[in-house]
Amino acid sequence: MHSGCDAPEVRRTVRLTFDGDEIFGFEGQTLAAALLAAGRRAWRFTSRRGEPRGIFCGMGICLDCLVEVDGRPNVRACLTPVAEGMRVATQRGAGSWGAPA
Amino acid sequence: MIRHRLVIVGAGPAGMAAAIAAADAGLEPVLIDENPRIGGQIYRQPPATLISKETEPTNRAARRGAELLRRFQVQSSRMTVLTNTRVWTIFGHRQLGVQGNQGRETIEAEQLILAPGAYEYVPPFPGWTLPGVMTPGGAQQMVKTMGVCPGKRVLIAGTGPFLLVVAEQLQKAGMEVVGVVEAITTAEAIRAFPRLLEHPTLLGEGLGYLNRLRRARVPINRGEVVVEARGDAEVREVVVAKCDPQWRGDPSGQRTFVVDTLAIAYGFVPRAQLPQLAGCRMRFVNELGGWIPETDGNQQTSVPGVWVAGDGGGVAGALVAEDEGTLAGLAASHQLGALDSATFERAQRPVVRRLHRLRRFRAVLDQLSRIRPGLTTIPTPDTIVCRCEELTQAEVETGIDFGGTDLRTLKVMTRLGMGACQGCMCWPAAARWIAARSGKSIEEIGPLSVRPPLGPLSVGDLARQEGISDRTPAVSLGSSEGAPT
Amino acid sequence: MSRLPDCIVVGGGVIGCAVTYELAKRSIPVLLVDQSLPGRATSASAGGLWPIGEAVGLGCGVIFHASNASSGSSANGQVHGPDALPAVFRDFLVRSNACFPELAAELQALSSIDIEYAPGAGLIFVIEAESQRAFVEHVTRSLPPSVDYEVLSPEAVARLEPNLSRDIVGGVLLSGEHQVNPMLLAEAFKRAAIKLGARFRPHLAVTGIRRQGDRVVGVEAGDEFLPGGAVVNAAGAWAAKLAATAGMELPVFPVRGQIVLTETMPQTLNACLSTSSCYLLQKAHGEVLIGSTTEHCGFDVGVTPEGIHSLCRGAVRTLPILSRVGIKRVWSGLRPGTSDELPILGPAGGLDGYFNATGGFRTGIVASPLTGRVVAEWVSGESPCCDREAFLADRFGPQFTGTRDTGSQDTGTQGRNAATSHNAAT
Repeated sequence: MHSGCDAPEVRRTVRLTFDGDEIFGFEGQTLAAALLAAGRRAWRFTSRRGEPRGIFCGMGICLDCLVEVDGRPNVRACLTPVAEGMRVATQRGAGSWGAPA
Repeated sequence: MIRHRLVIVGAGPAGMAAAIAAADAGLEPVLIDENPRIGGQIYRQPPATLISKETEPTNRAARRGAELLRRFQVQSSRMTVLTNTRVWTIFGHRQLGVQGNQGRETIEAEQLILAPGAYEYVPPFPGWTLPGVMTPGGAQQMVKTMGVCPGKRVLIAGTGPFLLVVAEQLQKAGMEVVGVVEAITTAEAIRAFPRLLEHPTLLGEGLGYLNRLRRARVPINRGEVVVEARGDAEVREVVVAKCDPQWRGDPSGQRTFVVDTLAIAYGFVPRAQLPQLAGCRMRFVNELGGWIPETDGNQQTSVPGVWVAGDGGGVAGALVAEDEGTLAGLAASHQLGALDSATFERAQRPVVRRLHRLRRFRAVLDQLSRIRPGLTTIPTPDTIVCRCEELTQAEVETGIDFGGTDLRTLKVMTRLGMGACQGCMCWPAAARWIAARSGKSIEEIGPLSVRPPLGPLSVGDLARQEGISDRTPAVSLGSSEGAPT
Repeated sequence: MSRLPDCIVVGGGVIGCAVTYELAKRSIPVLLVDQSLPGRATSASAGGLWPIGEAVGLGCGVIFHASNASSGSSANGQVHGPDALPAVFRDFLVRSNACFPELAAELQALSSIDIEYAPGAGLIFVIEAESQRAFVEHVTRSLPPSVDYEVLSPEAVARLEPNLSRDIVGGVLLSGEHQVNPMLLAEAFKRAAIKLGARFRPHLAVTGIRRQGDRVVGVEAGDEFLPGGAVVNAAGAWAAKLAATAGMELPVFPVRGQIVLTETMPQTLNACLSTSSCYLLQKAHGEVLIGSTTEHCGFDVGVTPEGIHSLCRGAVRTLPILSRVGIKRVWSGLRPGTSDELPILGPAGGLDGYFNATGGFRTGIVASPLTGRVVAEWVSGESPCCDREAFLADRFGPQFTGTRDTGSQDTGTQGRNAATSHNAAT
């Protein structure tokens, strides 16, 4: 959920999709923040055991928060700013390399 | 290749302070940081589009950060600030492989100050890979920088004063903080108290946190450790046990918290990769978080012209980081001839004095929060100990039985440390566990071998020619940078 | 040959481990000693098993490229590539390669290690431009009939490798050439050997070979003396330094190769690929390995911007999808190079009990099963299973025969990198 703390007067909404569903974030937010705000806590399933993962370290070191963005897997959700029209998808295992946006 | 007289990597308190000191000495330092804005972790600036800067800093730490940023801004015309820019390797001793907005570049520094900071230490325990289990810093960034609560009901656990800071911030952001679980016992804390009195300001700050949490009815449970997180798709409850002085959990003294979020970490691990790549001699100091570069009194490493400052050289907090940064900046400036010896010594003296006092205070805390061997007994054979490769403790144990405790063999046999994070998350705990199991010292086991690249870098990034680049114009503190490459 | 207690194998890379295994199979008491120096070749190998590819210059495209640059074209436009390696070595490599299916099972049973021997689609040399075609035809025409190869149209290449660039003029498929995990292979040889009775001393630096007159009597490791009637020099890039301690010259020199490893990808390659600027193969855990440079820079095990850049550029040209793919790790290793690209195996005339097992250069991995056997045969004195005289050191001239007697207390130091930091192990 978005907490309202110290928000500026105008926050620009950014629309993106996650697994085909429209979600929204605010300009300047990371993908991880937008996903968490949309109620998603996991957006990847591991290769070996198919277990769900979301954010862990929050600073791009643990490589747990990986997700597919615009056809590219292994994107760190905690470091990637949201962009209008971004197509985000759950990553399963090594993911799949589709066409770029 | 671009040559600069002074390059500083890392724009947290240490890096900023070093840059200020160098600018004050008349130099024009280059400051590089992988984040969109300077400030590092502790003084992280949220994107301006997202969180207003109108509010006054609410606590002393934030005020110190604001003051440091203000002093930086005073000198900003002398600074070249490269944000969204990553140093992915060091060639030789002082040639940096850099990936930034101009693409790929090689920067050679006559003097190089490394201020890479630290990351949080989370040793494995059953269920730690469940969604909803995260580091306190990760949770803090979500609320502070992004304006998002990562969950509803949180337990904060581990060790160190940072837990209290995060507890307050999460609570203010609207999360229900069911408690803080701190491994240090009350008795130990009380015994240490007299030594903390030597620095009443800092002690006062700490007591302030405790007081505010008490008033907010957030219980702080000391002498306890998390032994399990339970849930299916996400964490649903957390099991906590009383621990002995070695932090080994007592199975008979357990209780359960129902939460959807667990923010857990036992202090910090220095990001030692850059010093290692630069060829610095390393040593292991448990109280400072693990492997750190050897330094002399001026922050000089074993490699001439390479300095280290801040948590990346040994975790001791933001105040020590700032002073170490100042020292390194002064010393490097002196090396470059920008400061004569008399001026240098004069400027250095008060910093050294202050550092001495600060470090004495920190030493008490760091001794209390030092990682203790009992944590290695918390995982079970089924516990995943390598998050990336999903290896269980039992599997790594089989590898040890095969190859003894030779780390390279263990890596090859089990793939421990060969996954995406290249050992950052698993290795510090794995080394301690192997030491406990085998009787070898951590020094004998040695640090993880580090190879480039540090941070995300694509084949395409390296396939492109190096950008021909003049210095990037200094970035004003108010703007938000474009998207990272 | 008289025998003192042990045969000592110095060097725990793939060759040392393979020799130790073969000796243990023969119930010869053997001690393997390893220092694990940074930059050993086994740890920086792609694990390609390309006997024909390497033998004729189609495997490690860098050979082709380098020779192309140095020899250029003749007046009539014909491109001359490197001479193919002698048939005796080509046959040696083919025979060694054929050992792998059975070896994989044998090592698995003894050591419980899976060496990730992956019979895939084979090795494809990608013909990127018409100017390369002449060389390729010249090479394939001279292959013996026993070699299975197929010249492919660009369409056929695209069918085999959908992710390959379409900007090519064809390819040559060597379907019998596969890959293995070189580090697990070495480890498996070692574990299997130990299972069969071999002894192993890790983290031990051999500082010299001790001789009495014309016989080896053992090795020195600092203050410690390890007696042995036979010593096998499997010290790779450092073999010359070791041989020097016994008064012998050994023309082995380090040749650095840098390697780029990508993040884990889903199945992207079916075959191993070789081009004029790099080779590409996808390993068992999904990472794509891009190699390699050929550099003469002493014992420096760093990586360079130019080296990595040229590998990445070649990789993206061949496999455009790699442009967006992240790099997991970059490192380098030191191949034990020889001037004629053949290994140096067997006795060095004059020093009884001393055996070379080095100079593997680019083919150490694929050559390891047969090399282990051949060297073990020399040590044991049994009759040889194949033609081996071509690999003796004395082919380089009489000065490499090891007849100089420097006395019995020669403790020259084995090569040691100047690494003072902990950034040592690969």
